[in-house]
Amino acid sequence: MASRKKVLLKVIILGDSGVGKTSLMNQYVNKKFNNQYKATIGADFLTKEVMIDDRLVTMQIWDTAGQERFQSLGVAFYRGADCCVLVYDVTSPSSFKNLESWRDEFLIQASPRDPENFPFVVIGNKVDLADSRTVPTKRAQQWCSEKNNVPYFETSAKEALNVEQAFQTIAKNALAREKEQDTYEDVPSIVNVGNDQNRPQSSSCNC
Amino acid sequence: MSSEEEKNRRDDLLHSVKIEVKQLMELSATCKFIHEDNHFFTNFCGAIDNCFLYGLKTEFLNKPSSYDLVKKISYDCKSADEIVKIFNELDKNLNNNNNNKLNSEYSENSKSGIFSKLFWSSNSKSSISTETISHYVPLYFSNLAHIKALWIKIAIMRKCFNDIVSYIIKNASKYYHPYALMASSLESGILVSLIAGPCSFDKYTRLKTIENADPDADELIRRHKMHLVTPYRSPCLTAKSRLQSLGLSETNNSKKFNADNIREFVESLHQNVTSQLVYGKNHVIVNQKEKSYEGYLSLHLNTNGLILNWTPNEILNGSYSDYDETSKFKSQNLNDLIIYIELDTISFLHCHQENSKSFKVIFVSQNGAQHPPIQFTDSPSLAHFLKSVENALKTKYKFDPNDWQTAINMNRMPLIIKKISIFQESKSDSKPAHEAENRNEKIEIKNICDDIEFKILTRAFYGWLNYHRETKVVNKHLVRLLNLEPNEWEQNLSPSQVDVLMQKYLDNKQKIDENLWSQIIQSKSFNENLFYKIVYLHGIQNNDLRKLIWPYLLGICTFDMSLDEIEAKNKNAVKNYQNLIAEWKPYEEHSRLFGEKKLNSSQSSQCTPSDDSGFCSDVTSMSVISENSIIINNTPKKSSTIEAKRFFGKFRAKQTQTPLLAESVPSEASKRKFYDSRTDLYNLRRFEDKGIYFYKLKAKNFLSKIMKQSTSENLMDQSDQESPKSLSKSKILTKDEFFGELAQMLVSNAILKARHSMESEAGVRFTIELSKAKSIDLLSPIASEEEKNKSDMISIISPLSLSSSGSNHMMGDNYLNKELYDAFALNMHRIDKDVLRCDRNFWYFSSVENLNKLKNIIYTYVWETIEIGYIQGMCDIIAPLLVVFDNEAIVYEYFKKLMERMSLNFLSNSEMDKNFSNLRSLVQILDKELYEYLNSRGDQSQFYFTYRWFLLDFKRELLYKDIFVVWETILASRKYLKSDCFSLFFALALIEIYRDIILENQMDFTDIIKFFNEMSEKHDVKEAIELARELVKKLQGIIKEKYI
Repeated sequence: MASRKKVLLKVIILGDSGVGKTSLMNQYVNKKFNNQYKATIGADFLTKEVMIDDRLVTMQIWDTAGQERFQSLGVAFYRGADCCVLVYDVTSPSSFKNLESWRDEFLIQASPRDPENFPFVVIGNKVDLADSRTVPTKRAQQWCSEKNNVPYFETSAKEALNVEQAFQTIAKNALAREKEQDTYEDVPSIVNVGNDQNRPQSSSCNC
Repeated sequence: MSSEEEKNRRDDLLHSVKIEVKQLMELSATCKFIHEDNHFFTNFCGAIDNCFLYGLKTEFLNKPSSYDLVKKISYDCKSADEIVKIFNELDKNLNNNNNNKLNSEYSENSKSGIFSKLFWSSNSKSSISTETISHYVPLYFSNLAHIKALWIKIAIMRKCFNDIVSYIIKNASKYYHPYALMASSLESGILVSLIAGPCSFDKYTRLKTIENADPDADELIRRHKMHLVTPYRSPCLTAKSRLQSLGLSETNNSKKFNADNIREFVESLHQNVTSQLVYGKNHVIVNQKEKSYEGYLSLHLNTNGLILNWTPNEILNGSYSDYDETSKFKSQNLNDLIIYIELDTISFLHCHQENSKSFKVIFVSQNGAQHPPIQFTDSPSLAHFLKSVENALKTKYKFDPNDWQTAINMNRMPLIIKKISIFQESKSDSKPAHEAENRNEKIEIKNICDDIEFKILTRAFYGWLNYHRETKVVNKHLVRLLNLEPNEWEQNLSPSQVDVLMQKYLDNKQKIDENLWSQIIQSKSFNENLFYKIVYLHGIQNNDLRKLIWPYLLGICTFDMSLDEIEAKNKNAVKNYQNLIAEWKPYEEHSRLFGEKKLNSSQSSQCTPSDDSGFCSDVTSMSVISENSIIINNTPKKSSTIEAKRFFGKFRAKQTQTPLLAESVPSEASKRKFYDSRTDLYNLRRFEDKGIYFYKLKAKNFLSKIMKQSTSENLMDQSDQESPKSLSKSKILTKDEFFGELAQMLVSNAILKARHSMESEAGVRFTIELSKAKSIDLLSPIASEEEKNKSDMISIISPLSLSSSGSNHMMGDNYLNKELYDAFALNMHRIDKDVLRCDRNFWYFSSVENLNKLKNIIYTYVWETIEIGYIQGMCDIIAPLLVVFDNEAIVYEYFKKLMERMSLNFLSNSEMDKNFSNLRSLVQILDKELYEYLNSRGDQSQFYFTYRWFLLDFKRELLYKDIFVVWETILASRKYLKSDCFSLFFALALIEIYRDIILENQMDFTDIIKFFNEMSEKHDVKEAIELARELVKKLQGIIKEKYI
């Protein structure tokens, strides 16, 4: 029990700008909401310890910039991710529509092993704004079931609605994957695979 | 001190304890464990310690420390005795450890055993890993008693602190002056009840729990300061010492030596490749300057041979390191006490015995100079020390007499030990020896000489290699960064009056103030560069002046422009800006009314929110219309061909429904279809976003006209006149009926009716979409072959369109460009989001009016550069400019100018990569240790944490007041240094300030990102900017060395 190695789960939050990625992360980690978060530039992360199945794990939650322009930075940040959270704003159909491309982008940049089964979680945020909601739950659920039954949550970072539950699932799925990998692969080789595959695809590399 | 003051002082002390208690209690409420190194806990103990110290009678104590008091009472108080025992044991243990190192065998087991016994004897959970223990050794290795308040920590953790406090209070009159806090029954009572809570926790732990495994940036900095020995080792020094080794620059004497020495000393516990610790002992007394000091004595074997070091405890503990002026002065004095002896220069060792408890050894140099006597408490430890010296020297020297050890053990002192070179000895001995032996020795010596020669050559070679590597980096990356001689023009032959004044400002390190500026601006001839130099070195006094000076720094104004010219220029700027606003305003207004957001809200207000399908029939009917128009808009696009085909397939399938729709209330089926079409619509929009423009219409005003009509109060009258029927109809009809009606109107070309049933926005939208459809229709000839596929569909639409255009006077120049609109609308949407969250906590942006200014400027800029569009971060660059100038048109102009340089970072990754690689080279040259560390830590992405710095010129890292200073320094540096690189150096300075923390904590890529993100807006900008200037000079120096 005591000698168990410390588990670090890397979680990436993606989604259009202004859907509430930073707010979700801060609500989950710091239990705070502030509607004055600045637009994220580059990337930042917070860590949080959680108990999953009697196991203490550290979640490293990466908050990314929402504008595609910064996606080239992705390679560095996506690498070695254990779970990817796709966030959209239930009042903005376009942010929902873009989930598809965020997902593809992630799979290309992070090029995880076994991409078919890579754990994603979809979050529809801002459900507190029920009046201006435009993306119906069914629509989102349908999309998620098409994508290999991705877990779907509707949250409000502002009112701390469902945030805890969503991240619990995120941690669980990430840990499940981690365990799976532990059994037949060492961590360093994963990193290498990621590196090699990324190189030709990365357009930013001009050395 | 008056009694009043004494009372105040006591209140202050109690107050600070209260604060610490409060914070500690709050912490305990949120954490499972409190680590003993937690700064709240440390501060708490420190605050109590201060209470203990106030009014302490010092006469009978060795030193005025609370620990000495505890020692004193330990004869009588059991708990105190326990603590003192722990300390003694710890001390002994550490000495043992140091001694163990003599054999360079470091037994982890025994060490952890002692520690765990010490701390966990009562409630032994002895699962402490050796790792956690070794973590604390450096902290404790010197004199434990001098770590401020450490005993309090231990006492609290062992729960005997309350006993000690009550004992002290009971006997306060014995140890304290009457004015002391501890002597006042009331106040000491308060203190006891205050500390009762924190003292009763079971939460303290030595274990590195997960909760404190990732300390935040503040915590790291606090810890760093706690451990810090020298205030800050400037990286310039390290650069210099490196250069020395390369033979590039002159040696810089003792000052540097001292600073480096201390550091090396502290690090000596972790032996490294170049230096081996052969001896270490605590509390060795040395008599210096007629006083005796305790300190840490150690012997090191390194490339300089055997080195003896002695450092006073005060320096090791950092117990003076409160960073006020007086303590700095004190530390300076203490630094002078440090002893550093190269044993190679020593020829004699004198051993004396003064009394039964004092054995001294004095080192005498070749030149006869005596070093301060080093004192041991017994002869075995003296012998031990001398043995260590002899052992370490034995390859080259031996001691004479041979039997010095017995002499010391027998206390036959004074004793003079002579250090004799083995070579000399062998030479003198060899004379009478045999020829063969002589030859053997010669061969031996020759071998040694060869060996030495080889070593010298290797070292020289590696030195040379290193030098060339550095030169290559400098050549390749850094030479271009800096201009070598920014000083040339300073030698002005006939300085004008203003020049003299400016020189005075420079000499006095004054900022540019009103007086100087008014003289400069009036003067016809003055040295511009001198002016830039002042800004670069000292800055500008206030924002009012910035308003006047920044235009010159930005290069928008030049000094040869007259005031009239500047005035005209500004007027021009305003005019230009207003024109641009007029251009995009209609788009904004249109978007305001019909943009996605508006549309959404209007939709949902008509729906029941809980309805999962989310869309009502009215929306559906509308969507069909909008869908039509979008289809036509997008089909000709080559890139979206496939998408469009798919889309039209769907549309055809739906066509059969369209007539139905037009006549009846929409069916459930069409509801569902709606969503599909909508998502496709967004898909298509995305394609549009990529900036493919396939047609351009000039008319931008059309929609604004409609809009004005639609919003105007006169609307009712108008529609009454034009189509009273429709108005009354739309008022009476239920929504479903209304949209059914609307659909009918579509078929019957009743555009006007729809247009004037303006109460519903949907109606307006309907009109707009139709007119859009029409505008596309006009363009349909350029459409590609998909056209054929949808000709049937167009035939439905085009009659409407034509008639609508006919009846509405919307011809020619009066159209908004749909393509442009879509691109701009998307940007507006993004800009709005970012403007709303731009520094709202800063006073300037708490006002909506100012936010609007910000928004207008970005809109205008994006309007001008629509093919690039808005990029996040632009807000951040405009914001400080707006705060300074508070004038939209001017700020727009300046922002444009700024972006000439900065947009490179926004646009291309290669530009950012260039920054990273330059920064990398700078670190390589100016801080090799850090460079090698970072290199060993991983890949090329290591400098990504500076991404935001470069993108926004540090705007997010600094507070507003500091941004102004940094920005004007950057701007001035471009003129003064004639180079664009100051931001690089500022970035380097920010890294260098925390380089020790990075190294100490072995931070990796992610840790560094987190650290700097947490440090944003907390940097000491004054320090950083000064360091940055230093570093510029440094690099200039290096480049000069290499080339001149």
